[in-house]
Amino acid sequence: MSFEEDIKRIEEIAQKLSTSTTPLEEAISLYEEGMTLTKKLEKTLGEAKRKVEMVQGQEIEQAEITPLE
Amino acid sequence: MSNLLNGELSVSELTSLIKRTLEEGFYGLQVTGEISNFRPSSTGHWFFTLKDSNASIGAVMFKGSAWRVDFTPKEGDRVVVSGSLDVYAARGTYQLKCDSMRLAGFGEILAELERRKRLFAERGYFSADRKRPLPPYPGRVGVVTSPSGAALQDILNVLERRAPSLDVLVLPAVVQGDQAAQTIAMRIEQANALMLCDVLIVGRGGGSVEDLLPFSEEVVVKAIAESTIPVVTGIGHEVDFALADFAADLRAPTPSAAAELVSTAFVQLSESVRSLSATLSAQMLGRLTLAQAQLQRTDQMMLARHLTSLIDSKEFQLANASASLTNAQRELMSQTEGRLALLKGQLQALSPVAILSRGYAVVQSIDGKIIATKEDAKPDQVVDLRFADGKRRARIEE
Repeated sequence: MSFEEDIKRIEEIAQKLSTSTTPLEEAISLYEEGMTLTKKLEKTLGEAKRKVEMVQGQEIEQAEITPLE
Repeated sequence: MSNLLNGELSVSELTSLIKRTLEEGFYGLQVTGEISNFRPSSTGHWFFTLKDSNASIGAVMFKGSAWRVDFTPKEGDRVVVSGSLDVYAARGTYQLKCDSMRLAGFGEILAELERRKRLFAERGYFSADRKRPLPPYPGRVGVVTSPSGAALQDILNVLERRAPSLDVLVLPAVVQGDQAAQTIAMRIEQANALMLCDVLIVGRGGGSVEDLLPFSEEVVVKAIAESTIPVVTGIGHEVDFALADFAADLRAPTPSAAAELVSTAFVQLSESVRSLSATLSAQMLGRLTLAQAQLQRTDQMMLARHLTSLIDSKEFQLANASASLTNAQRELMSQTEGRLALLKGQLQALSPVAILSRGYAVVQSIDGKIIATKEDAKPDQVVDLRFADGKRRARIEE
């Protein structure tokens, strides 16, 4: 799922949680789902797993890519 | 030859005269020359020599003026300075005290840039319908800049802080000098040809107007305009501009700002996630509190209802029981009456009187003994015959 879809789902869950007609059991499982999603997003966004690389060579068609960091 | 002044002058008096003459006579000057022997002091003042092919003059620019100059002069730069003459009495030297400095030919450069700007606009490089929005969540950002420049470090730092999961690809380019425009354009074309990234930052750190000129060359402007990968420019400082900025999909004032623009959505997303997570928790807590209150209320109501129904059913049982008790009593009584009548009947059936009433009689002696056999009844014996309704005296004949 993309970031936008995840966020949309969490917003949906927040909306449902704010409605008192949602049965408590459903609310609890919704809450668990929402928290799992936010944890996942926080992890994806905050994880320092980036690759920094650099293109080598001077030819347009030949781009050898090597790690920089 | 007459003396200029009467009497003798001390060195100080002469120097003072010279100082006054020069300083009052030479002010509001504009001087063009080439920078030489540039010596910035640790305190921020600039000392240098201004020269042309035939002459040179010492020059100073104090910190208060120097910080306003948007480039750092270097050997050979042709500059126009404005200022006045200043005499340094202790050494008997004069120098040019500069208030402002700009690169010579700046006016010509500006005019040339204006001319090119119109031309490029005519060629459609700047047209608004070419502009594409930046992808909010790029997977990899390409950076066309000098691999050794401070701009790259700034960009990497900003991206690391704001979007630590975002991959970066450096497309190394020469960013000043004759080769610059060609290599910058080549890297932009390369990124597009090989689809190397989702968004491109094209930029360099601050420099003189000439330093930034490659970013106003047609090859660069055209490459940016034709790039299918959205381009953000971050060229020089806030005050600088290059024609590449007009062709870019988004113009940032500095390389760092370009990196910020590219990572905006990540930061916003992080904030949304944080605030949504807080919202979820708050709502769940509210929901639980509500449920708890409901539970307590339900408890009391349930108990009351339970007790009432318990009492009701017991009352019913009680009423039932009392009714059955009455019935049972009644039944018992009628049963008893029946039995009584039956027993009476049986009793009556056993009574000798009942037998007598069917036509029998009991023979008794006068003293009341029952005479049951003929041997007991002697002839001429007077006996009593007992009938159901009374007695008769009789005599046995034989």
